[in-house]
Amino acid sequence: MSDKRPRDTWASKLGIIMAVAGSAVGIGNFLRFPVQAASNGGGAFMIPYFVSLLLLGIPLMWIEWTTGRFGGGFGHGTAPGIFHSMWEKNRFIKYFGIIGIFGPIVIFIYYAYIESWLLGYAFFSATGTLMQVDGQSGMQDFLRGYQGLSSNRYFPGLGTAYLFFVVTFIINVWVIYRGISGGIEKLCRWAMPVLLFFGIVLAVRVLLLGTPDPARPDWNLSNGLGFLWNPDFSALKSAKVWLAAAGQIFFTLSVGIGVILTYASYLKKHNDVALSGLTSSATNEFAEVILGGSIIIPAAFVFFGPGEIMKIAQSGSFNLGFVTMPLIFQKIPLGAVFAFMWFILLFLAGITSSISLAQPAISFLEDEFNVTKRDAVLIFATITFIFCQPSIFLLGNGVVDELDFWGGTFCLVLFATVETILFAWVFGIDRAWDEMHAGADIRIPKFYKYVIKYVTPVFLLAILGAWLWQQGIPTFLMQGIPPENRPFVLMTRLTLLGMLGLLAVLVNVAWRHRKAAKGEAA
Amino acid sequence: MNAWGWAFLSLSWGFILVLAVFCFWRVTKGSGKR
Repeated sequence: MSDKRPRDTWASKLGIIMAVAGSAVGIGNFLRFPVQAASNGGGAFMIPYFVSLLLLGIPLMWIEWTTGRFGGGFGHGTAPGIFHSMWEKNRFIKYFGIIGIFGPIVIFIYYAYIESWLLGYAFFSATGTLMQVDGQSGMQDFLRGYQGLSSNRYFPGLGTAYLFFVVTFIINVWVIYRGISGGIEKLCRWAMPVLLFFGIVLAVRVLLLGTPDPARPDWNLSNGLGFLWNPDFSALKSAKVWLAAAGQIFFTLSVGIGVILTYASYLKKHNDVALSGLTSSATNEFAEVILGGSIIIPAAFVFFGPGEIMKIAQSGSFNLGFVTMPLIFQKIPLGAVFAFMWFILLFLAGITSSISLAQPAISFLEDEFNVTKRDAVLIFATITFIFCQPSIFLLGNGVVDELDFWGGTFCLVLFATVETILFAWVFGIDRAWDEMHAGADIRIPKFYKYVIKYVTPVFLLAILGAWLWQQGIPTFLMQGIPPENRPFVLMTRLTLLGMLGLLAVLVNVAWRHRKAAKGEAA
Repeated sequence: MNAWGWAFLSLSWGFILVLAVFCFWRVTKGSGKR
């Protein structure tokens, strides 16, 4: 019987920190956060936001880094194996872990397509095409034409978008193929600093905008920042706001998905997780609150005023990024350069996230079936390429929204709840605390032992309950979905169920082989 | 922006910058572990 191939490892501490930060820092840091904050009480939103960060986000970061490293020590890089290693006596917990592979794949198959739009728009910025598009309706037509939602003077069809998608897909596959240190780490070590540098340049540029229109002196930078930061304290009474803040922390830190578990599984037992987890969280918050909060909202405010912003934002966060920002760049000197920086910033944020979404499936095949890297990547690429097609061709039919709901919302909360209770209560908080501190470069404040055992699980159960009631049940019943989209939504759900079933079968088969191999060795 | 807005911005930025600087300083300092 052949020996298992040695598992890949990270080449440096900064490397994995940048990789996890890359996974966390995504398009949402720059497009979703500012809109969430502005629509949920402005500055007052930061209260539930920071409460969620400290009691939910950072603890989950530590939990995932720790359990990932723990499971990796047993040769498991994905949640089924990692959960099993924490609770070996239980035959079923590994099936819960399937969400940690399913979720990332589901998100990947639409995220990769959205990411490719950014590459396309960066290209159009560089060629000057984007700077020639006239006015808001022109820019909206440009986007809709690019997305294939309408055939117009800008784009006869989906050809251009498809080309950029193929290029983006190939880049993703190539990086994953190169491995943990040779691909992911290498990319993130330069992509993250470039991303942060472009973000700082753009933020500074926006903060220096002053009052572009002398005829409208109240459309100034200070009021623009105020639109985001002036607090509406009455928002704190709304459960919806607290839920929105907790949800934003989840998405922004990439916790509850399973990707951090996989990345951390490639750490050695003596590698720190405490300081590293905190550092990647801090990097993400810098990108989100400081950079993300200083670009689209203040810029849109000074050029379009308060009334327009909320109208644009409510029509979709894509519109602020793809319609409003290009129009703003048209109005400033060197606009094409800044537009290029903006879209490259978002593309880098996207690709460092999408490669992390791809890795769990690869790790699963390598670890549990001893498949070679090359074959695992080929299998993953083939399957996801096929599944990406509905996101591309059925964009207007609700497929992406549906994928985002199940993969990007429901799974996150459920998975985070399971892994927290497993960590604090089954594995046991004392053992967990020791494990967190193995090789640690900092000592985590003692009160976090209490937080992880009692506060985080209760917080998560409250979110799960409230969210199921407010959003889960209506979405499940397809409320708000136009009748013509229902067949597509149903088809998407059936496909997702099929995927889950297939993964369950694979886990079952893998464990049988493992048991049989043990039996032979005995 | 009003005074509250400045307060929220300053506190948020301050907290994040302090945390980030502390973390990167510790990471680059190395742990001195053997």
